[in-house]
Amino acid sequence: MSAHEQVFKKLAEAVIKYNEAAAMAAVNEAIKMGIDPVEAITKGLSVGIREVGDRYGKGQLAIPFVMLSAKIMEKASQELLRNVPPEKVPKPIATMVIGTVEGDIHDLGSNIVSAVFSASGFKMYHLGHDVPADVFIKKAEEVGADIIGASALMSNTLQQQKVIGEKLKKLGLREKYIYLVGGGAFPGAEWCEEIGADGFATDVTIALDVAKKVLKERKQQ
Amino acid sequence: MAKAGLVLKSKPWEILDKDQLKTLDNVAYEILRDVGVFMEDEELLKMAKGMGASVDFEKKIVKDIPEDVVREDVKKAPKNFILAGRDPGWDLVFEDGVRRQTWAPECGATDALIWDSVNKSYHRKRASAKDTAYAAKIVDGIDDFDHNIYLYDTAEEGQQGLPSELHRMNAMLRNTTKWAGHLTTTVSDIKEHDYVMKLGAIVAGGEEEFRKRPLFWSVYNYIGALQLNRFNSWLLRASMKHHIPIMPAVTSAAPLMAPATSAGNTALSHAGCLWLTALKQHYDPGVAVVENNIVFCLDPYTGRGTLPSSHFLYGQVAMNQLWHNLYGLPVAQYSGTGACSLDQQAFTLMGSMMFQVAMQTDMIFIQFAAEALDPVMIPIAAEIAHYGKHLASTFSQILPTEENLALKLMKEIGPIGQPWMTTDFNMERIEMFYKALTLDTRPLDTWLVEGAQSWAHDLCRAKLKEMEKHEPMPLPKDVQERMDAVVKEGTDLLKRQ
Repeated sequence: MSAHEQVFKKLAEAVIKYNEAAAMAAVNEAIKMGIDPVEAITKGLSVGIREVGDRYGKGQLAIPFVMLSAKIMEKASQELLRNVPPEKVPKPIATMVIGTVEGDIHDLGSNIVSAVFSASGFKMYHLGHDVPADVFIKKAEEVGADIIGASALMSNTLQQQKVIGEKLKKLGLREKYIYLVGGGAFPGAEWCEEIGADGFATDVTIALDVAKKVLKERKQQ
Repeated sequence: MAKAGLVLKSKPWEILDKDQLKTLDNVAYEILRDVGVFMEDEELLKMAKGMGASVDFEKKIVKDIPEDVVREDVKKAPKNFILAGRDPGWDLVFEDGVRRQTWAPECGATDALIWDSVNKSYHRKRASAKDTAYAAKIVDGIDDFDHNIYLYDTAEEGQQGLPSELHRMNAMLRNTTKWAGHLTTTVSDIKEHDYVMKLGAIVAGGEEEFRKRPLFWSVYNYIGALQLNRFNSWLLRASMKHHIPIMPAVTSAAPLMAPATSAGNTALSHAGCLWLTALKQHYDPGVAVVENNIVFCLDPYTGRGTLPSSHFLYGQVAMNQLWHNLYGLPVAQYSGTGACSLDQQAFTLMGSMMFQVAMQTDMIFIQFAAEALDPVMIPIAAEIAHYGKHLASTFSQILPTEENLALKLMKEIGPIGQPWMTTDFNMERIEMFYKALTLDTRPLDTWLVEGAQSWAHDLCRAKLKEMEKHEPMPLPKDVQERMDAVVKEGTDLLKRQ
């Protein structure tokens, strides 16, 4: 194993073991060795977070550890990219505005999605819970988002997912954004179709796949 | 004659001594003083100020909640009251000094699971008022259930922006003669509660009658620590306005949103319940409260509730002791399961329920996994309730009375056991003590010859078919028409666009 590969392995393991000290030590080592920061992220940190995502999907890892791993990945990435000129910082895969819809106080799921997506190269803006439709759209416009993600965990707040879609149409913005929906109360493909969303998921690993798939389809259009 | 509930004669299972209980109780007051409560509603913040608490109206946080005020207010909660059924025979009677235990299934599933017995698979569909009505009718006809609670949510209606609480309670009141259970949060408008209360008044025979004989109650819950959002606040204010009982269901969702220890989470949850009870009694004194501190557990691997963990179990016992021993107030408890398959649900619920019997919960809710419900869980729950009632009702046989000891008879019969079988003494007691289960008591050989059926999928499903035949006594036509008018008016006004 080359010296660079050893550092990549340390970075990955630090993320998998949610060990901030080990992650930052590996980051410093990568910087000292002059390893390309983007390579350190893609071959080191990202490998780690994918493993974390897999283990979570198999029920082997509890949510707090996923969140911790994602935070460490984010911190380590920021440190690696600190001295990289802005024009050379790799662009995020996409920019996403996410939140739980108006009337809904649950945000655990959307917090997990935000953490895992952020760790997977998305630029995330998490709006919290009980977010009115206008606020989703306003933030998306403000930050130049690619994706709006709306979560609902109660059946009587699901209707707000429809409201967001309708407001986007009314403002002539529907085609501007990819609109993804999900949450614990999500009834399935029929609702997604009814409200005209581009995709749905009720699990974070599926959500990541759906987001990437829809992005790819958009690029090809 | 009252049909609901069994008076318990045994001693409860207790795990904490007096000092330990006092510690938990005192910590709860410290939490109310120093940690505080988030309350989103401006009106409730003013009410809190009126009780002597410090209120940060900007951050919406209430602190320095005075312990003496809370203690005095909680004392106003009545110990003698009823929760009424349309049929007074099904009234739930609460009496000071009497532990009367009741059973009901509980769920609130947003989806129904339809079993395809040919392909051995499930089809899932969104639940609606029709499903609420269907389940309410079945529960109404099962004597082992002392009251009703909605098993299916009006998810379809809510999803379409209709006032789902109104539609749900409409379905409940029409399809049961037992006490109808929960009115929970609406996201539409506080006015939705007024419409639901109108339905209650129509069925009860007037507002005054509805107050005396409440056919349902308001249930709110904190989700995570001490937060009362505006929807729960509406519910509380509406219950005060209409003077109906409440069940504060304070959920501290450990280990993701509350301390991961049972003690910490119990104290937190207890604090929330004390505060809600005090608020209610301060501004609506003498209206019943049944405490429900859910020391709630989320599965940290999925984020889903409810987990039958030791955390949950010990918290429940502690809660019962706190409310029974220190405040003399009744307790309702859920015993949830996050399991999916019928057999795993039955397995976890049976275990949980037996603990509920032992800890002497007043109102036992057999709570199914709430995402999607196969109605076969109803006969499964009925069997669990039957067994629980059997345990409770047959306690007295262990008391070493002269009659129970049967020493005189022993001396007559002598050491050989066989003659006991046909003694009057035993024959009188066989039906009472030895019929714990109603479904499938066949011996092994018979069961094998008859096809080795699954208890859950085959036998309970067959039982469900029988249970579906029950029709509750319908409401008079004019009552139904008046209810229709209220539902229409409420829907037209409150439908969210």
